[in-house]
Amino acid sequence: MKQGKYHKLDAALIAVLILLTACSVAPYKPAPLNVDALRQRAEVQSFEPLTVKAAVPSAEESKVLFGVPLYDNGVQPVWLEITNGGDENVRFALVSVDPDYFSPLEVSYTLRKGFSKEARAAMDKRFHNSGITRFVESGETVSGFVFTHLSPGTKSFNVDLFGVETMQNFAFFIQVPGFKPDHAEIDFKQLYTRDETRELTTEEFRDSMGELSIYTANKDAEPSGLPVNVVIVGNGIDVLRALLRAGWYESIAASSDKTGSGQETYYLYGRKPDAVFRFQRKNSVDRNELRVWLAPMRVDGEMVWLGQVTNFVGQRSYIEQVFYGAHLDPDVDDARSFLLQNIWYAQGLQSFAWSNAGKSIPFDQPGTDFNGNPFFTDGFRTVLWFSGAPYSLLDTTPLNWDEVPGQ
Amino acid sequence: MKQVNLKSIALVASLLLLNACASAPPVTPDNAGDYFARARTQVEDGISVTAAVPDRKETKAVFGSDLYKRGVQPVWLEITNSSDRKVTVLPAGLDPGYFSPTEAANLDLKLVPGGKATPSMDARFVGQSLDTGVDPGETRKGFIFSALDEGTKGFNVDIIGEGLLSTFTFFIQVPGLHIDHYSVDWSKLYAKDEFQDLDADALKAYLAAQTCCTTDKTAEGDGDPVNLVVIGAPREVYAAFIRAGWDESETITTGTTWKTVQSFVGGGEYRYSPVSGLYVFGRPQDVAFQKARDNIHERNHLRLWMSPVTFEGLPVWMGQISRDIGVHFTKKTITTHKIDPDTDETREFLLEDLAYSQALAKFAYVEGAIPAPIDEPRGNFTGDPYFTDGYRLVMWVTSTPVDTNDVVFIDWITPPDL
Repeated sequence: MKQGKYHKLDAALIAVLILLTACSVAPYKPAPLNVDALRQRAEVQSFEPLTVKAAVPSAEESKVLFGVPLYDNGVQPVWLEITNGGDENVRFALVSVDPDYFSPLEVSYTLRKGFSKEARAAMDKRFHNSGITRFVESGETVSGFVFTHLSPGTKSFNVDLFGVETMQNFAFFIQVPGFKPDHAEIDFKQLYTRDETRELTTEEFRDSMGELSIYTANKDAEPSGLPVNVVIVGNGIDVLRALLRAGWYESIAASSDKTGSGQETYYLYGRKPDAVFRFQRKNSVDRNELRVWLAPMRVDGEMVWLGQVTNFVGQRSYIEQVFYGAHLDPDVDDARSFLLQNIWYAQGLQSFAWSNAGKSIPFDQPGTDFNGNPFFTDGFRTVLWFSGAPYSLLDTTPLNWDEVPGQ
Repeated sequence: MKQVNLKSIALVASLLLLNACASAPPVTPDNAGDYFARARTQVEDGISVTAAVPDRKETKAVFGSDLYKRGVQPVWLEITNSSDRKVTVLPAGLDPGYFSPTEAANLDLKLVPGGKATPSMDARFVGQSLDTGVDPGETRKGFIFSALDEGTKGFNVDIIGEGLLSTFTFFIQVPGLHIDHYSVDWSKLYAKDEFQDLDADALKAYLAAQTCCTTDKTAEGDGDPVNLVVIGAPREVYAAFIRAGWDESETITTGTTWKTVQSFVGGGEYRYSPVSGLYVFGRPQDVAFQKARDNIHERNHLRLWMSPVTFEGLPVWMGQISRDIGVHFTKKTITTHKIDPDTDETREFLLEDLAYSQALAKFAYVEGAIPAPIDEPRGNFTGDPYFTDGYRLVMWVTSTPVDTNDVVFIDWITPPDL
């Protein structure tokens, strides 16, 4: 009796196995690995005697290169070519590109489903051979891929090369074909005429704080949005680089009047944000959102951006979103203080100041914006001078404007 | 992307139920258990920092909310400023993705109709949070809400003031897990006179002579290559790995088996899952660390065995590291983790990982494992093939941060092609 049962079970098992094996027969025949296009468009950086070329293939290109859809699986290959023209050997640290990079054989193993045994071996070979090596001997050039986590938008990464006594950092910001961030759709030169943009000294800038909008508006220009709690000084490229280095992601242009959180868009200067950046928390789907608008003023020749930073919480799972949507953390000051610390730790902050906009809304009598989000605030803005190149934490200068909030 | 599953629906139902009958009494830190007994104090530049980490139960008692379940862990700080300048505590130094008090207050409640904390909940969290500015002569105390770390919580408290940046590093054990190395009696591993202090040449010879590979219980068979050597006192070793974001491992109990099964089926994270025993010196590893990546199937595992030799007075550990890249079925153990066959890649990853976490002072290589080229791979116990150049990476780890640029390479031998 028992015996019979086992036989039946075995038969079922064999049937399943046959079925499984039958599915695993896809061949693996990618085109020969051709990186000419990547090499041609690669960004080149040199610090004598070292040269690094870098390019990031798009989703489509990656599929052609490796014969499997890497982007769909959260993997983004980065192509590098390192030339060592010096006398000593150097070592390339893969973790400088992505601290949690995938090993080549890890990528091929996770994508092996459906392929035949021979195909899997061929895949392993393709991935293993295309991974970059760590050692670059004197006079040598090496090239290959690092398999990183997919990040939307401009790819920001470092390439660190170590000699015995030296370390050279290369910082790359590379646009990936197929992704057009919101700010790339805006012609910033057309936003204001030359006469409209005021040139200010830092002192005049400080005096003009009172003229800035305290709140963002809805699309009918009623100032019933959230507090404008951030002012950023820095040219576009520097602001972008500082944010990318600190782990913020770009967004694509909104096609509707809804934000990514399903709420009505916030307006300033009669328009939607020029750019929206998101900071994803590592262990949850909570995120910070920074919306910025170019202001018609320049400080010591640098652009000025008004911003609103908030923290969206409570989006753990799909079902929760369906029922409750996004939930704005009412403590908008905390989001502001998060941004300040985040940029400072990422070495993107030259100096900062506090400016009292004078509209404090206490915790026990919260305000409500036009989206129905309750919020409270001490009424201060943080004014941040961004640096595109790394700026040492210890050199960041606090400016003595208004008394620091919370005292 | 998380999917809607039965678990979520059950969770919704149970939370609705809980909400209907629960009304937590107000609790203050003063009557919330004895996590203060585990508090640690450090003093520097005229600033005293005391830190304590309540466990799951204590946290529930303080906040009336199961924050651990939501991945949030409050850290209690008391800052006394005896200097002559105003200082500020930076929560992002403790956790770059720290939670605001109102965010923490709302995390456990968002499935409840309305999805918002009551004003009294918000007030409890805001009221107990730390005011980050501390004037001269003043003391401030309260909580910062960080991402959950069970086992040992390693964190920095960064304090800035005019011309001042002080970092206080804490490693605080949080009760609740059965961590493997808590139960190792270090004094009993070897007799005192068994330890031998070696000079560099003798150490190189000793390391090259040690077993190539791990064995099974019966000291037979060749398992994964013993591809690491770690030099440092137990506390330094453990602080270095915690600093680099590695998690400790629990011992196997019914509870931990159940947690492993749950995360295996759900693919979720059980960061502290027990690590199977591999043998060196005739015993399973003294301590295992793991670094979870995207899910339980993809993580790195590292095992260490204390050896009976010391170098310049510091304990020398043999070690083995592997990168799990998935799961497969075996006759021996039913399921096992598939390891990345390129074990040298994994070894070099660890070197970079520790160096970038400022936990590495020096490194070198020695021979000792058996070389296996890619086209003639060797196999471990569960039949996984691996290839290696046969070198062991020797790492001097440290709990005092060492700048990545200042890590010293000791040129005993250089593997020809990494």
